[in-house]
Amino acid sequence: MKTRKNQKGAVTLILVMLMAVLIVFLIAGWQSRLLLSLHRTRALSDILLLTYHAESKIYDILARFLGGYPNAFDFPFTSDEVLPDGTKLTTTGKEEGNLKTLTVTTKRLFGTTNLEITKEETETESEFLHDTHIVMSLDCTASMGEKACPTCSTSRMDEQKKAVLNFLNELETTEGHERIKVGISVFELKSDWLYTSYAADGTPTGVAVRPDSPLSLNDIRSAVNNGFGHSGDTGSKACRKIFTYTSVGSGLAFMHDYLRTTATENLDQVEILITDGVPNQRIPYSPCPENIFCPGTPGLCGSVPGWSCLAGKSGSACTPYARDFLRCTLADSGTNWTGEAGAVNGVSNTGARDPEVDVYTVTVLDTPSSSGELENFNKVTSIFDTYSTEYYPLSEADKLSEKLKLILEKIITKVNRYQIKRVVPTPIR
Amino acid sequence: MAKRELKNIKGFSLIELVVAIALASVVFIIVGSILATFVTQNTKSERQEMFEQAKNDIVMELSNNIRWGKDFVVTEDTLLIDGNKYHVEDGHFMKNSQNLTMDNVSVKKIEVFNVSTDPNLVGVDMTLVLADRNYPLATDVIHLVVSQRRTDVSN
Repeated sequence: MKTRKNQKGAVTLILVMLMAVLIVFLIAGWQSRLLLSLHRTRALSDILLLTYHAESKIYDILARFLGGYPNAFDFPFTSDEVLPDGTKLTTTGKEEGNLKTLTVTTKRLFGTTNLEITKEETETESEFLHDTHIVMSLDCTASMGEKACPTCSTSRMDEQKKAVLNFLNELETTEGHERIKVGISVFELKSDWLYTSYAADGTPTGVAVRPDSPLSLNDIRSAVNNGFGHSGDTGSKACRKIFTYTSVGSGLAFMHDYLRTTATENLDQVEILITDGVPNQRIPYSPCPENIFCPGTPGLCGSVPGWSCLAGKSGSACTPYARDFLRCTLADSGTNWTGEAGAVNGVSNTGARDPEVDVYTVTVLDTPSSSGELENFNKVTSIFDTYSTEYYPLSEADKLSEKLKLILEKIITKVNRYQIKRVVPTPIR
Repeated sequence: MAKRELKNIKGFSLIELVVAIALASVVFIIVGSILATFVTQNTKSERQEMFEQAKNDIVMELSNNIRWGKDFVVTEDTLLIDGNKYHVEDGHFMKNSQNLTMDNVSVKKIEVFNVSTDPNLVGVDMTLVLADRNYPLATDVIHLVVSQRRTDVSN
């Protein structure tokens, strides 16, 4: 009797154990499938996050380069950061010659993404050369009639004219030069275009030499030969209708106004300004305080239609205003300049130039004859040096040609190419 | 003597048998239902995983290659990226001659559009209808919209 009871208990135990084993197997199978599904979902979400973070970083780097911050990265470097969602982001930068390479690596538990951006400054190749508009502003003041250098037989105006003609010749020999258009303007008190022909009194009768005018390089060369004489002011046809004395800011403001109206996304715009003088007057120009007419000689008060002088705002009182006007027109809109005593006086303002427009300036300033002149020269050269894209100070005008050649080389070689690519990691074997 | 011995052997009464059979039936019904549910769920989840796997494979392959591709040709049922042809052949999603989907998944329908408004870049809108080869009524849809990235910039 006892034996039979024991047999029943053993059978029940075996059945229960079998059921338990079956249930354990089912649960284990179910759980492993569940885990696999969870991991698969997690892997996909990780990859989406990795791609998003890596792309964000790489386009942020591109924006810094394109936005005009070429020195944002101090090559070579490696930086690590952990983003708020736990993604590890590593950026490495290396530099080999003209080639800068930045690699962005993002890592999470289930994946890694590598993206690479390269920045290369290429030599001139027509296929990479951008459509470019270059506008020159040439000094027309009376001092341009002075000797180019103590031993020279030519005047500064002769050298300026020669430099511009050489610039045009040099441009013509450049592959793809058809994509570069040139405009030429002049300044004294006011500024205007150079025209292809003039009446005897200097009234323009031809076509303005603007980048968008249908003029060939030959037409522009003829216009330069015709418009400029041996001296500035009344000595050159191109200079007779823009009054007298020096407002360098007028030349810059004139170029800004033109380029603003023709700016397009894929057009490079460049300004080149040549002057042999220090600014001593300003014109009304609303982006630049104080927006007044302040001529370098009281004789101009009442001579310029539409503009009148304020009391005490003429003659030597205009020099600080003229320098502030130069600061304002030369600085770009992302840069602050501070007005000097006697004019805008300590007030901080932003510049009037579009930061996308490069400005190259050349000054021909001979040896100062007094400490006052030296101080004035130093102030002016400091302004050019601070706010120009590139500044070339000269003491003799016969070096103008080589400086303009240098500027042309800068313009046509300044083509940066950026390439972004995905880097597939090599499998570890 | 023999009669006496038989009398001494105790058997199961009818009621005991009925109760035992009823209990056993209840246990079997419960266990059977649980097993049936497991099997059904298992089949469903297997199918779902199969579709998920196929979707993952196709989405990862295409989204990466569309993003970073250079040359595109988009027709209504074919996508050509840098010389690699993505198309459907015999119900398989193919990259050139390589099958990207598992054998138990078939692709019933493919539609491809270029939805980019930028003539220089491609934006792919692709719809794929997947089906279970063993049970074609079970389907799933992949809808993928990915744009080509601008990778060459100069200034």
